[in-house]
Amino acid sequence: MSARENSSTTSTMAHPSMDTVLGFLRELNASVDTIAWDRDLIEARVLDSLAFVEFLLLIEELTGEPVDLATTDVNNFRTLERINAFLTEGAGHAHA
Amino acid sequence: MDDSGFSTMLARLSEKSRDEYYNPYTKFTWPDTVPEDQWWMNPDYLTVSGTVLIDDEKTLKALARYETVNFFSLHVHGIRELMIEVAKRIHTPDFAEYNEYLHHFIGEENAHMWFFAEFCHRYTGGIYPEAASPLRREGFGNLWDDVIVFSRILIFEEIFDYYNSRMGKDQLIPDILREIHAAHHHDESRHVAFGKQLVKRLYDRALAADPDRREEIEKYVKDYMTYSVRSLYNPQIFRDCGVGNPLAVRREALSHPVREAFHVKLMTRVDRFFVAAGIFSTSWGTEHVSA
Ligand SMILES: [Fe+2]
Ligand SMILES: [Fe+2]
Repeated sequence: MSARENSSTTSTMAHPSMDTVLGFLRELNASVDTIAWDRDLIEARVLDSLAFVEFLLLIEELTGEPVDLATTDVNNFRTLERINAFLTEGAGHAHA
Repeated sequence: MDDSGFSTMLARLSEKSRDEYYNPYTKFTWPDTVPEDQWWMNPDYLTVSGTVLIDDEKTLKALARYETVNFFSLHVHGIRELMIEVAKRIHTPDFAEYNEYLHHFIGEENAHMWFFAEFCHRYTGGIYPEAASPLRREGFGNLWDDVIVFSRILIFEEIFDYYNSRMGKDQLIPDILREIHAAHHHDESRHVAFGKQLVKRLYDRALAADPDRREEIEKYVKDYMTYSVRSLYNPQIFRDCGVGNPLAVRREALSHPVREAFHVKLMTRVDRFFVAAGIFSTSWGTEHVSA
């Protein structure tokens, strides 16, 4: 059961913008291509406090909506899996 | 360590601070208004200079106004954060020999914060909020944190000085802006001279105690330089000047080859210092393809 969930969130359900996200993160740390999608990006030293401001602007550009940290949990951006989920939901809202 | 040169410099800088002391609250003659049809920044120093991303003069003049507000806001927020760090260290045993000078530093930065914010509040809608990161920077241990704090101050001051030294004598911009830039440039020349010597000493001390973190520190300081360059391109200035697709314009400006070359030029002096001090094994500029 959990194996199916994993494969569905990592490959088959990847949001098209994940390519851009991965491209951005690769510039920060090339290891992003090999890390698990449920691995914490901050602990893995891909994202840090200095890069995070720029990262949120990228998400804003991709979703067309600013990320309001008063209402959006930072944890939404700590793994590739959760970023993918955020983009998928965000796009859903945008087209609704 | 031979301290005589350093002590002499400290004494000389403190004396200069005393001699050149001024009352920031009475120093400037604030006009009733600052005309919006004038350039608040020389267009050569705008973030889109050298690109053709914005070509309409009205929008560029609006951008010059918002970039001025952003530039002044960066000082207010950046120095507030760094003054907290300096205030934590003054009159502690490790910083005892710097006390006298650090008093001047805190006093002068307090004055700068006031006049930069005062300009924004008098003539615009006020300062921009800070682009705070929701993540906390992890510490590198006390000795390395000292290096980081004063390296950040130095980077910050060198960026400001690049613009202040030029706009402080630029006849194109309104008098009050030229006077603010000139006043800041005057004080910062002392801060930069002090900062370089201090960073070098703090670095040598930290390296002797904990050499293993050297590479990590180099990476952090370089990342901070990149972060500082990006902060000049506050997304809000592009939204406020009324350009369509502000985030895309910002992103294209930031990665434009002319701008990347400019970023290297902007950072040359401080980059060269970090290499000469042994803090960088390679320069930020050569590795730095994309800011
Ligand atoms: Fe200052
Ligand atoms: Fe300063």
